[in-house]
Amino acid sequence: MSRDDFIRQLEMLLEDVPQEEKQEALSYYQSYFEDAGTENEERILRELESPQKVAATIKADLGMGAGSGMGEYTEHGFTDSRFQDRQEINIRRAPSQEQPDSAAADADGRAYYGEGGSNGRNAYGTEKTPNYQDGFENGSSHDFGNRHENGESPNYQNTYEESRSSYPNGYGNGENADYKDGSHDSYRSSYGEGSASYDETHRNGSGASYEEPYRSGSGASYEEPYREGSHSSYQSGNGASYGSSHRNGSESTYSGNQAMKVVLLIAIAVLTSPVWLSLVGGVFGTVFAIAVAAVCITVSFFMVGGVLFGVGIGQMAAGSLGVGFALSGVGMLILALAVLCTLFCIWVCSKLIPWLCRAVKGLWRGFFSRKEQRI
Amino acid sequence: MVFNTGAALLDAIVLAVVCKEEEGTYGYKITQDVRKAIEVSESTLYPVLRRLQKDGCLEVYDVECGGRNRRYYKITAQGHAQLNLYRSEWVNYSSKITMLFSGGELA
Repeated sequence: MSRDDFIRQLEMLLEDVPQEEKQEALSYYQSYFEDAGTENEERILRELESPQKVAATIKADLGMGAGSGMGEYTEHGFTDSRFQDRQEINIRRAPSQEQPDSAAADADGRAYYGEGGSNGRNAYGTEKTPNYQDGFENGSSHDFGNRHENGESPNYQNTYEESRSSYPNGYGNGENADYKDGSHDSYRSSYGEGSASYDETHRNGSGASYEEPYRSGSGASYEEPYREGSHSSYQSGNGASYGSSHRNGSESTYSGNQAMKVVLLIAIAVLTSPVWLSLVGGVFGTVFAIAVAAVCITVSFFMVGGVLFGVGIGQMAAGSLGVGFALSGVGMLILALAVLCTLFCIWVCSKLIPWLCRAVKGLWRGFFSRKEQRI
Repeated sequence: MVFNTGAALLDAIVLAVVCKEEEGTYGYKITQDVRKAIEVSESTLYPVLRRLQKDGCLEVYDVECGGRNRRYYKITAQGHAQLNLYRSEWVNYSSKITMLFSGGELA
């Protein structure tokens, strides 16, 4: 893929983002390539992986495609709207989704930590550092350790609060909702903190955890950005709490959304079939009719030309040279016209039809790649 | 790398890189500078820059360069404040971790 292809595809993929954002992103990458110079073009294209990935990253940061199961989406969790979205998912899905996952960590009250721990471990396990499994206990407790420590140093919290004021409470609350599932008490007892500090620490905790998933965005675990990506990124976060509960949310919305979209798509296709069937039929009918007409005209030219030429020759043989010459001349002209028509038909067949096919294919592909993005 | 670079740290790194250039700097150069410190993919920084811009930590302006406009990023006062906050946070955080790693006792 060349740089121009890349930009073109990116433009297509960003069709549904606000015009301003689209322009910003396109001009950024355009000048990125220009600044890098042609000698780096190939490397950059390789590292960017695909326009789809870049588009997904951009959309993720714009808070588009929330709950659509896009991996990157959550990795950049940063802005308000996104957090609100997430929070909704959390609250709605957490209770029902908590069950299967917490099987790994039986006790309800512990589900929270349990999940987190196991996710984290998975992540480390799958992510090229298997011997981290042990270390991860530290990882997850380090997470809590952090909160704990935050709880103890109010200054830290305050500054943190301030600094994070651009993505407010929503998050902490979302997590709290999770907590109400029964872990509140055990949390408090095991960490021995007042509910006030719990709240604070928790928020900080979420700050910490969203950071983690984000990292994998820049890391190597990007292979399957749209599907598996969402899982692996969450898992790789040792921001256990957030990662796990949210993963459930997005997982379920992902499958739910997909099924719903397929059904919806079929329904729409069936409902609108009279329209598009007649459209397609009309287009194909017209093309076919024109083709048949062109062939008929060509054939008739050949016949008329041939006949006139023959009659002309006959006239010449019969003695009326003038009429004979005139007739055979006109006949030859018409034959020439017929040959031109044939050439034109051949040109149409060899150039126009493949071009049409390509255009249709391009439209089709554009349509589907966009759809995939949304799913 | 074994350790993750979170969003806040990434923000801090980008702010620090942009802060170094008083006249401002541009996307490709920022990426290359950040890469001197940490591994980031080419697509990582655009959203970060855009977000920092929206949050008012960075301002952008176009400079004509070789017959085209190049977008420059420059740190704002708010960006400076944010960066200072990140710096102190980092000192706090990293010193504690370092202390833990070196086997010392946390105060």
